[in-house]
Amino acid sequence: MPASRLRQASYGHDKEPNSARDSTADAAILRDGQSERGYRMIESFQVENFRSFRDLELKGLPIVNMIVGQSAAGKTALLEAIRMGLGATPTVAWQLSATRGIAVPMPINPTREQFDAAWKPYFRDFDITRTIKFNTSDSEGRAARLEMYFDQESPVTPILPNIAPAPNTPTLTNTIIPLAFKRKSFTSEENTLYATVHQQAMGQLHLQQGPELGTVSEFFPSTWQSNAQQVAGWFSQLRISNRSEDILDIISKQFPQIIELSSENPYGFSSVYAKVKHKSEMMPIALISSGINKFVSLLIAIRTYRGGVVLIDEIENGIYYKMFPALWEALHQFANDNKTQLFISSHSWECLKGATGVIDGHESDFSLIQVVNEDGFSKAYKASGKNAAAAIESGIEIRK
Amino acid sequence: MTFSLTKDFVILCEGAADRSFLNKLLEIRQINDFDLPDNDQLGKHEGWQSFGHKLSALAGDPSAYSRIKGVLVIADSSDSAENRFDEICQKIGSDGPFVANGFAKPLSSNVIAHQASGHPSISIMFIPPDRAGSLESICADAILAECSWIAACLESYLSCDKIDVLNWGAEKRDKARLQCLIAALNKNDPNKSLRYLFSVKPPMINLESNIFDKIVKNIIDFRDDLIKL
Repeated sequence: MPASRLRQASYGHDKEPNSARDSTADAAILRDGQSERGYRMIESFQVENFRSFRDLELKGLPIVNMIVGQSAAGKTALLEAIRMGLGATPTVAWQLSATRGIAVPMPINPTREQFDAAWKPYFRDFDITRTIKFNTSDSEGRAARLEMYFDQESPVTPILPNIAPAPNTPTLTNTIIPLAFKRKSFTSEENTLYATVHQQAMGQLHLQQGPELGTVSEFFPSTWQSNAQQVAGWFSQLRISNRSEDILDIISKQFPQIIELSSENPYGFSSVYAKVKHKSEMMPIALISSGINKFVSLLIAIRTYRGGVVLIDEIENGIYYKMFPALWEALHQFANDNKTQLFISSHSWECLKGATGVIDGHESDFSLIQVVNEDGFSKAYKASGKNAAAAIESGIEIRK
Repeated sequence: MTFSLTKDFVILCEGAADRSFLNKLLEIRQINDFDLPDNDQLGKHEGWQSFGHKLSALAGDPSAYSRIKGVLVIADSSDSAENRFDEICQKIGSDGPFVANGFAKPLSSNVIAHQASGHPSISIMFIPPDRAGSLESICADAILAECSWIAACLESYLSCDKIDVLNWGAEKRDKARLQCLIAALNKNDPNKSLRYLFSVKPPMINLESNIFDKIVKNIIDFRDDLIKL
């Protein structure tokens, strides 16, 4: 399920988190003309005890970062770690779990085991006594920090309504240990949010809300399929602020049959529509081609999250192989134009090979991050764009 | 097809024929610690000019690169191994995976230069090891050692003053010599390549010959010196 779609879902907790995230993204749009000030590219990133990472540090990250590795090496976990380190809210954690199909609706008045189970997979070796740590530095030398841990000093025991239990049935009163998100933003604001249960509302799951740490980010999981309404919404905002024309330029350069893009809502359901040569009516772009739809959606996302970070897992899914060089060219151009940093994982040799043409001449804009599993831990190794392109051109197996 | 780097040592050579020769030589001499990447897929990075790019390609697999203890660069001696040594070092410095001026140049051929942390040690070795020429020179020697009956005819042809091959530079002269030998010894297809000689079983060149011992010794010394560290 798309991470962004989850914003619209209800898990029995507050619904503001999405607005908090969206407003951050919108703010990035509204800052047009001040993009240098809004520039938050990740320069370095460090994570401890998250999923299979014991201690990972990446430095000198450029604007386009390609991530490779075998299945189960930790590629998706790395993308999740970056998203978590920037988002840093209980809601982001819950959403990421859902994209993995892990999160299940939390029962009312959960047992401690039920509550812990929702968060346990984030902890290395499922050891919830550890503290997960994220440290992120941006290109302006500022740092953000997140620590996730079960706060033993703040147990919560819901107060249940005074209803007489059935005969011979014990009154169940559960006590959970809340998961703390201790945060320091890029602007040095510190606070702690909790994933917990309401003490009053029957012990319903409560994900405390707060802004992200300052760098807007979006995660497109491998299972992502365009959320037409969301992408149409983004596109509308770009159109309103006169910042959508170059999207059409790029798309029509690659797909000359497309001569116009617009966000339409003919039947109460928004979607990006395209005017196609020799067709009498505009049509939803998803009907033209899922690959073109993904192409367009990613460009819109990069523009929407300008100055921030877009994370894309298994980018090759749904893309026709001949489209890869054009896709990389467009992603690189758009990432640079918008100062949106990209982290893109791929299993596909054809996809990676498609990047070499654009790396040539822009070597410093690219890096390759190789995620490998060694001794049960995920580790990451980084190569420069120049070396990565040389390896790919030479047929050196970089995917491990 | 992609090539996976799995071993502690890597040999980089100029082209496909060199790779075929070295692969077969290492196989027959039972030296199993070296990867010889087939990194010529596009055909645009061949020859001694390619070594910087090939080293960068190794670094493009950063997890393997961090594990590699040593890279042995093997090149043709050409007409002047000393000049070629300087040229190769210059190319490695400019095209390789090192930061500006970061490549530690070996003192001379067959001398190991340890590099900055994160990079494997590097040595440059020439074929033939002790004179001008190329892989073809030493392969021609090996064939002539087995087929001495052809030597007089061959030298007579090469010394014909109409073509004057013996006065060409050593590298070209020995390539011509080997082409003549291959043609003379392959009646069914006189156009066979040097690479072909190593692809047949048994190879048409006796790689057990002591003519190749010096090359093998240099390779083993390189490996053992680094293992001792």
